[in-house]
Amino acid sequence: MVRTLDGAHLNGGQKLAVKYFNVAVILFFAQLAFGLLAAAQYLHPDFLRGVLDFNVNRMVHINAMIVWMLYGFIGSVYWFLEEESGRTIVGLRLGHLAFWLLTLAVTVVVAVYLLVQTGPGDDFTRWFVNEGREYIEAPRWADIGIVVVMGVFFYNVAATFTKGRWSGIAGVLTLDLVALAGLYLAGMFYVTNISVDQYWWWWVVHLWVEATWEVLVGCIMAWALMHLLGVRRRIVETWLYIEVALMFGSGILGLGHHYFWIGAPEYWLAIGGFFSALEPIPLVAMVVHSIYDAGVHRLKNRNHPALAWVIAHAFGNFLGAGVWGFMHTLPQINLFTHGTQWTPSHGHLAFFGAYATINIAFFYLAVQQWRGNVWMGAGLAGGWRWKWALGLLSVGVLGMTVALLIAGYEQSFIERAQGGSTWSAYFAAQTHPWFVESMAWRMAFGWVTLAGFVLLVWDLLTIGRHETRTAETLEEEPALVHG
Amino acid sequence: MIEPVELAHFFLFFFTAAAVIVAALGYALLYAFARLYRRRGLLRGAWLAYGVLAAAVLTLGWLANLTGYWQVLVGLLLVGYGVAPVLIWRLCVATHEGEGRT
Amino acid sequence: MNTASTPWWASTGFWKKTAIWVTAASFLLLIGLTFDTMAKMVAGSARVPDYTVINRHIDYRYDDQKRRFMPVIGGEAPLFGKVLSTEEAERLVTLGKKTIQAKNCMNCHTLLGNGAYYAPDLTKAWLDPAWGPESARPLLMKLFLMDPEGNARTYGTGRKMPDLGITEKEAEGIIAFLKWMSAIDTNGFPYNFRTAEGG
Ligand code: HEM
Ligand code: HEM
Ligand SMILES: [Fe+2]
Repeated sequence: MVRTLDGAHLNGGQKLAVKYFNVAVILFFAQLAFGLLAAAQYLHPDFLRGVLDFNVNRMVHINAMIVWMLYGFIGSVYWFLEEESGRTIVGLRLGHLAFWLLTLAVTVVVAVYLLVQTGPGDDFTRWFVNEGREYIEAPRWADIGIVVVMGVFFYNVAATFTKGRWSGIAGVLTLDLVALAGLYLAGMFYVTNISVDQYWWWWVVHLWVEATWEVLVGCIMAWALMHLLGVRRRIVETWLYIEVALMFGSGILGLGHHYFWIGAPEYWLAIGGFFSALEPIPLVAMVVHSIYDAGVHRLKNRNHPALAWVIAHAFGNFLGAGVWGFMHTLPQINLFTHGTQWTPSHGHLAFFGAYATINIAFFYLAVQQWRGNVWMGAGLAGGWRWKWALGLLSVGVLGMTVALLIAGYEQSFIERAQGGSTWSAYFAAQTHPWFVESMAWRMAFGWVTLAGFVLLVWDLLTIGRHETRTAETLEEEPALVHG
Repeated sequence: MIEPVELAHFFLFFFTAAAVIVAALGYALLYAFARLYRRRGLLRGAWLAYGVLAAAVLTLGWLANLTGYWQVLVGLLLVGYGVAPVLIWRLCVATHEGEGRT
Repeated sequence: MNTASTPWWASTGFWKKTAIWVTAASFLLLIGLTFDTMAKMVAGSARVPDYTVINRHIDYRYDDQKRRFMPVIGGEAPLFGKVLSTEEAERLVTLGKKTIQAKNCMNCHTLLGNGAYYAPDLTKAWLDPAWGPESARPLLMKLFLMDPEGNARTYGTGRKMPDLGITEKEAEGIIAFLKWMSAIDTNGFPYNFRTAEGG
């Protein structure tokens, strides 16, 4: 018997969710491909020069990342929306339309990035080609489109909960989505004053990844834990509130760690240092609580790959954001690490550890249902694949992180501290053997990462195909209504 | 204002900063496991981990020249990362009340 | 909602309220700080100079009292030989900023330390000793920006800035922007940066 991926196993929201997941995986591939191109240019600067310059490759690399993760989050919410609200999604057809609009817009934006790349220094370029601000390079027309699509998504979520059933998760999720979309607006205007520009730019970047995204993931995790381990609703909701209090309590003012050197007043040195030093606490809480949960439920769970990725999330978030973040967050040291390879060392581990992992976990939950609630527990045929995919992706990203850490350490020493950050100091650091070798190692581990990705896709496409067993059902509350 | 870390102390600083957070996790986990399995040995391990954490925080204070009002940060780290694991554990137990922990 | 045995400090209701209060308090504080910071960062404040600063001589020196590096604004030193009015200066710097965005500079360089790490930080590029004496700087920079490959100095890395089709006017705007940015008080970043005059 061969089990197929059959839409008949999915409810309305889940059918839309798998569309989002499909595009997410494709963009994940684009992220890795363009990351490899950019990394190769560190080693061979003439590679693709004048065709796809470093800035183009890097822009596609980080934009593809932001967009695939957002696709994953949106998909995850659509995935559980019907079960959580106890009814079919309000305005689902509009939701499908929004999906196609968004995907079309993303395609056009990327095509323009690759084919047009840059333009003259006028308003037209910013509106239709490239805004030129890291992570939010999408031209203004696309920003507006994104906001409209987010509006539809928000309508689906809020209206479905309103007509169905509200819950703690639903409440936190809805408010968090308002904040997430509202913050995006902070990045949608032009100013000449670069200090003011960067002040608001960090609202989008920091308050997304260190506040609203963390809470969004908290909502998704809360639902996943009930679904995966059968944890009681009251418990996951209490913990969701605890995490919100700790995350927002430290993360909102932790924003100050980006205001040390952009022209903002000196008090930000203290505010940023103090609050961001507390940011690891919620991450510690998360690790301890998830281990407690797993212990109480004796690791009995219905989807081994998904749980493994959830655990990778807890540790990855802790390591990438908590440990790597704390190491360079005090202004006394950030003065030297700021804007060196130290920063992407932390950026890679944090984004992968916190957000790639949880999305992948959800992909596994989705394929399980999509194949008709197939068994994904012990003794799964071909189980080596997901384990190797997890291993290769983690080793790949950790390897890149360590390589960048060594390069960043050398740079903070030679360029920042000794050389005073002049151009000649910059290049002295870039040609130092530690740096050059680190870039080669980063490239090598980049290939390992790609290998892990290939295996992951292969696994997602085939896992459970020849499995005859069906997953055991867990007792969940409240009784779920399947559409 | 700040007094930046000295060049000669960079490596030690990064090492110490990582030690603070890793020790915090170690302490939290050992404490939780000690309570979960009622093992005194693990509890001693937890206090040891806190000792490492405290030593790392004090070293950090010295390396990063945390004088003046920055001493408040040292205190905050000592107390915050000292109390949080115990509270987290208590919350774990209290919120799972009635779930039949074995 | 909670069983009778759950203490109040572990109850859902307590943490819900805590979450709301903590979030609201943090956010209100951030709003208050934002108003204050905006007032202290307008162009023309002590930290962020007016755009006409491009008519002046700029240096970056260690300040004994503040115990960190600070921009030092000196006497008249017009860019491209002409003193600009307030509007002219703002227009030129604005052209520079828009060009910097349009050419996607920040995906190779850092500005104020933020951006990408493939090319040097531009925070104090105007003051960099690599550009030689102040009298030659504007022209050298202009030539470089308009033909970066032809005028490349890669210091042994082989990395060359691509030809971005920057016009002469845009190049002047960029240089004005860089000069203005170098006069922002960045709390001592970059540390130990020595200008041509030996700051
Ligand atoms: C999941 C959470 C996090 C993610 C995804 C993340 C990601 C990033 C990224 C991508 C950057 C570079 C931004 C740029 O391009 O300029 C960055 C910068 C930074 N992050 Fe995080 N981060 C997270 C959490 C944290 C935490 C918890 C801390 C502190 C404890 C922290 C401290 C910093 C600091 C200080 C910088 C500035 C680096 C510099 O000065 O160049 N981050 N983060
Ligand atoms: C094939 C694997 C990868 C390679 C070769 C690679 C390479 C690169 C390169 C060359 C840059 C530009 C850094 C610079 O400006 O010097 C970069 C930036 C970045 N990459 Fe990757 N990358 C890979 C995978 C990933 C993954 C899996 C993630 C996260 C999930 C990620 C997140 C980022 C982020 C956030 C930045 C911006 C960092 C910053 O501004 O500090 N990358 N990557
Ligand atoms: Fe941050």
